[in-house]
Amino acid sequence: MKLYLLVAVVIALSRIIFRMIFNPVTNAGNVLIYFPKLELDLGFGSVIGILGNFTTTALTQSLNEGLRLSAIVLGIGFAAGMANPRQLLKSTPAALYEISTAVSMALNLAPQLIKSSERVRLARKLRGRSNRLGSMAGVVIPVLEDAIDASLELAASMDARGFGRVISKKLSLLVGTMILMAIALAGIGSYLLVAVDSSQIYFLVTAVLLSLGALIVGSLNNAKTQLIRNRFGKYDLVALVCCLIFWLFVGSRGGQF
Amino acid sequence: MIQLKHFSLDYGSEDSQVFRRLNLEYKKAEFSVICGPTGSGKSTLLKSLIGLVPALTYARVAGERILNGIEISGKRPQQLANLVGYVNQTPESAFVAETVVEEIAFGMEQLGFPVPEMEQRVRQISSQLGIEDLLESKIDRISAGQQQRVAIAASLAAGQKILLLDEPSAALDFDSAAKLWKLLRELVDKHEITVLVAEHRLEEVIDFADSVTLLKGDGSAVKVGAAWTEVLKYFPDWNQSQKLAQASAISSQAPALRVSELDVTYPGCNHPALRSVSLSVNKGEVVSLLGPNGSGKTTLLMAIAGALKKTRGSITFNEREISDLPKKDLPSVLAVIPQRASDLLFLGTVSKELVEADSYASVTPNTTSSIFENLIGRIDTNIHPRDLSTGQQLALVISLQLSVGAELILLDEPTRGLDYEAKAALAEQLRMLASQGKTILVATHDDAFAKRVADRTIGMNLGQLSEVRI
Repeated sequence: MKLYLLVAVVIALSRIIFRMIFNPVTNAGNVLIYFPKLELDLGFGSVIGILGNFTTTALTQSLNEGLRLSAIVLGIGFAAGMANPRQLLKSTPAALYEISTAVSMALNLAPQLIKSSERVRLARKLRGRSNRLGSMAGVVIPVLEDAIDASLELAASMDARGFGRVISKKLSLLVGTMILMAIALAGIGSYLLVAVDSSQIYFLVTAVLLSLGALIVGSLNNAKTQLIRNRFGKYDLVALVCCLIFWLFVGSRGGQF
Repeated sequence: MIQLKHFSLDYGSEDSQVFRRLNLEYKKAEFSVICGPTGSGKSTLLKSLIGLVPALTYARVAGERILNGIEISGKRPQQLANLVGYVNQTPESAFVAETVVEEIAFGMEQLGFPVPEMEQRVRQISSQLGIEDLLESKIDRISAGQQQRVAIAASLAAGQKILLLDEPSAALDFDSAAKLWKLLRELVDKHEITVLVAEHRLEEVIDFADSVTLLKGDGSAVKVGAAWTEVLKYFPDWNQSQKLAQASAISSQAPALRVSELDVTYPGCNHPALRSVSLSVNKGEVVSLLGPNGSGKTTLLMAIAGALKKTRGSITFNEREISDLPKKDLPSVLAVIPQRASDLLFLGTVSKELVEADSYASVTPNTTSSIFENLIGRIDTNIHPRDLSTGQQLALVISLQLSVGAELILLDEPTRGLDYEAKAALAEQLRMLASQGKTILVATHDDAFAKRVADRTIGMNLGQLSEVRI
């Protein structure tokens, strides 16, 4: 989160500095800093004004623009900090459990790849070859080897502990058939919607219903239970309050941010 | 409890046969250690008892595997999860959850246990394994020994009666491993669990076991009583009392490597990882650095190698401060062999590595290959370095490092994954290098190897030098 905060501050400051250097118009308001005004005529386009008086209006405008971008960066940081892939895993429907586990595990691979790369980089340094033997293969092969080994170990451990166990194989087959039918109907429905008219929507509706049916049957077919469910903690409350404030703010400006 | 009848396994051809008509039987509440040379199929045997082999491989199997009266051929590992618990070599890589309690419950959740029963079983198993205080802890914040216990708890929480462990002591120091063997013995005696352990460090576990399953490496296996005399009948080379000739003629009394009052603190940490460490190693001497995980052995080696900045103290080799040496000159003074020696191998074939090392060191052609041959004999050098065995990879890396003229050799946990023969070969290689005047410092938690190879052993604990227990 610190990094996001730092980037947000740097963005806001650089926008102000940028405005100080490339000051396009003479601004109203009190002059804060006096700079000599330079006008560059490059022979094409309009004349570029550099420096000039930096006024309170210029400061407010540049801060406003900079903070807008900073807010987006902070928002992303906030979301990244709050969204724990393992917590998300717990909130998915049972039918999507295996897919969400795969996604969650894939996300966890990233830090592991960084660790492996650091280890290999240190190894190259120890062999005194950091600048020689610069081929990518020297780094990529050990890192990928690590990643594949770790994935296989994890898969074996999860399988051995019952991951992917279903109540009935017949129900699994039914879910598979329903999903295939839903995909086929979604394809046909989309084509008809574009090629004929909106009266052909019922194909798409059937596809959605079939998908929901597959989700329900798939969830029923999964024996899985859960010891600890997601709790609504203080951080979740902070996130909710922040989102509400943002929503009210945007609403009060008529949907403008 | 476990029966293998005429069990065979191969990977598609006669040459790739791992097991040939094995007949083995383990009774209820038996603790057996599976031992054998590298590649003899210890892990494969365990994995075939829980269905991971052939499910996750393309292996072909024949014969019967009967667990608790159930023939398991054709069953998926998920279907056996309530009967067999499996802990792999690196539990930390197999953890799925964030906290200990979630990890223990994971298997029961997959099997659809009701929540009240899960709560009761979590309490029960954590108390049996002495980890009840860790339940809310994050898994990545606990020690390797504790992680091992959590992995065992997670494997037995659903009431499994068979426990399979693959090299459980690989990342454990002597004390943690001893606690683990004691714990397994208790599980066998008090809770009638049948325990099979694939293990290289037989000398540490044999006193706790009921039997030893010896995989001979030719596809056959034999089960014997848990006694060295029985084991030595089949593998006489594994004699642990054999100690190599020490104090080589070249070993001098003048210290070549001298570390004085060394402190190392990692950036962002308040506490030093090393505190007032002072030691010296003579020319031609092999010194082993023995200590538990996290005691600072690797940090000390990396500080000596100049890969970590020291906050205080000095490290000299032949009276020259190592940190004052230009970075490019370091390989000609010292060679570092990290835990995963293969990380130092970058090229497509062994011969390319050997030629590159000659060219980098500006020495006459074939210098490196003759060092390599001296260490392990003649092998086909047109193969990929990753196709070499772990022991051969170590020898290759040592040769590559020595071609530059390094006089100081630092090895970090070199015996991880090595069987008895490979360990003995490595010990001989190191003794030979010492007899040529090389100064060698080996960080290890393998007591038997340290005893076998070193002239002197220095203990390490909590970032400081300590008394040696062996």
